[in-house]
Amino acid sequence: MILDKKIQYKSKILVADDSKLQRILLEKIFSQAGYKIFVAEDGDEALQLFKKERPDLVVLDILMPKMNGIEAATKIKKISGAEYVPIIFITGDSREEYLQYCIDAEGDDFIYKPINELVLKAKVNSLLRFRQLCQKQYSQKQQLLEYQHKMDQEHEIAATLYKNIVHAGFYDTPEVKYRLSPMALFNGDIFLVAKSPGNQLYVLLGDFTGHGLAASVGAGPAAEIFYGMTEKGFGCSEIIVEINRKMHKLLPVNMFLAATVVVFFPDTNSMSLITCGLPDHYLFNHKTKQLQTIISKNLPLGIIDSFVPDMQHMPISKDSFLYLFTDGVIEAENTQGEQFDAPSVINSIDGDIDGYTAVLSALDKHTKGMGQQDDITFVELNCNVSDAQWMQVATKATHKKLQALSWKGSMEFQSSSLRHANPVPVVINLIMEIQGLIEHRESIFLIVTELFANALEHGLLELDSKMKQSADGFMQYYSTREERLAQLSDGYIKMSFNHQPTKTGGKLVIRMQDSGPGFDFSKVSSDLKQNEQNFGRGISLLFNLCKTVEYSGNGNRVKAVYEWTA
Amino acid sequence: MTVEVLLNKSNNELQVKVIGRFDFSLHQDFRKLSEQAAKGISSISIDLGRTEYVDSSALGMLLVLRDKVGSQQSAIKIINASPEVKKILTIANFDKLFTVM
Repeated sequence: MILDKKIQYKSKILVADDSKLQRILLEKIFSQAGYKIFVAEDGDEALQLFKKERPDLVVLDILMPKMNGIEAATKIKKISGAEYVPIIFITGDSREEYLQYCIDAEGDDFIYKPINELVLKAKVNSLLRFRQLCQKQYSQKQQLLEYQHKMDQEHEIAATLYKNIVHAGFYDTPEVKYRLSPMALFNGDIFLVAKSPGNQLYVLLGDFTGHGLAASVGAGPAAEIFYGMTEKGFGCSEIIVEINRKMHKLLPVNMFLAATVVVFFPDTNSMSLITCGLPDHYLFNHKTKQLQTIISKNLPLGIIDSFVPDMQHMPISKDSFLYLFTDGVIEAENTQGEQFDAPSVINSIDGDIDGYTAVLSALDKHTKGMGQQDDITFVELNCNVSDAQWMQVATKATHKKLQALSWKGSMEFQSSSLRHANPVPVVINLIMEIQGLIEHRESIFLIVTELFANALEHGLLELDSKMKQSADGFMQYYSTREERLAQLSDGYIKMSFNHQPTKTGGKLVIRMQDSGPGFDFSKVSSDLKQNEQNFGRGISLLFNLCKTVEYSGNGNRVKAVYEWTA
Repeated sequence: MTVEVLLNKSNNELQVKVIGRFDFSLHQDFRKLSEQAAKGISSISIDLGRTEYVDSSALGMLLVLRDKVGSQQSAIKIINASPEVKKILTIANFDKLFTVM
């Protein structure tokens, strides 16, 4: 590397020597070489000049009055601090202990009397070049520190924003235990809990792909949709569809949100889950020691623009706990680089102490000595819904007391409109407008969705639900559904609603009729008792929610009765 | 961690082999790959036979490729994935977007 000439001419050198002759000689050498030079007669003066002029390099005679060269050098190095200022000692004595003093005083080089001009210039040149490198590195380091400081500040702001948005509607209850590490935000984990007007508990655990701030930009909108729609009584599939739509619009192609929504229904001791790309969940009954693995059934959110979520509905026991976590838990490494895998989680859950404590302490033990591995979100949901604290506290009524009205209406959807849109949400909104059954929105939505799906898929499109039992068949089912729906040229679905007040509240009779060939409904109830699987979760859900479900005609007409109490 | 890319000129298929960990460190390789894919490639086969691990940013890179080549499920084939890697793809339900063989 060639020393920048400009720097050479600008470089300032401080020379201190008590011999006048020596001073004249050094001044001549450095001036001719183009340096700016300052001259001192002793160590004390050298120190004062150093403070005033801040030279780039210092040449000190060792033996001087008032303050010797060694002492002056020590003080100069102290003043310079992190900045590198090279010091060359001039000595007439080449004994080793003398040289040791120079090294102890952090001297950078020596030159012996009588001074050889060429050697001196070479040493000065090389030390100044080194100083130049050090300064460059020093300023880069300062710059990096500044960036880091700025980033820390931004993280802090983001963390505050995140807290405000995500936790604004957070419903805290002892039945929901969670560990969400403070840095999890920057890994894009979100955890949301809310209660619906119908006194159901809604939980969303999500994990954005990627790291850093970019990963958490979607958190705000997702939380807003979740809390907003839960408060209005929307069902989990509607919420998921909406979050998916928003994420698809918002996120770049390579980013998505893996998430699961769980809803607890205390009325029926059951739960619904929509799983979209998170690791397996575990439902563990600590009495029977039965462990049920709940797998991800849907694509993560934000990848495709619209989809029909595959929802899982299952009964829950008061002795069960549901465990959800993001992949940070099973990918947490120990000092050997081994991951805390899924079997470790299962082993901890299936132990003597409670699963939540067991998993987390096993995880802490596993990651001990690994410093901060801050990407862990672990959740335990207590399935004992009937005794849950969140159940006892009624949701604040934000609407008027219900008064059952007497009304009825019917609608008919032709194949052309069925091809384009799902009419169920619109119909539900209409019922809500008329009757204001917001606490019952989720249930009514599920009933109408199931009846409509049956009428469309099995009635008009003549799909066999047995197809859905294998993973391959499942995909085939939905692709066939899409194909046939696109080609649907005739047929209709009629729905009618009849609502009447009862002594205790109201009764909603939902009738649905399709133009399809129907099916042998006499087998429904008997088969349902023997094997729910044959008819899928849909029909068992219907029987759960409704007072009665009756098929008639050739199986293409169904009447469902839903009752509510004020 | 390396990516080997081969263009099969007879059927205009890009053959990609990922060796080692498939994660964010392959970001630049995949960026180049998706630029290439945008220029008239009909299909891509991604061989994960020697891939040890797939993380979520790798899944993101696959989505970018899908975006460039077209969203038909047949456009991108993922072959030879080990059971562990397949498990990650299955959790994300990527078999709905790609042909996983």
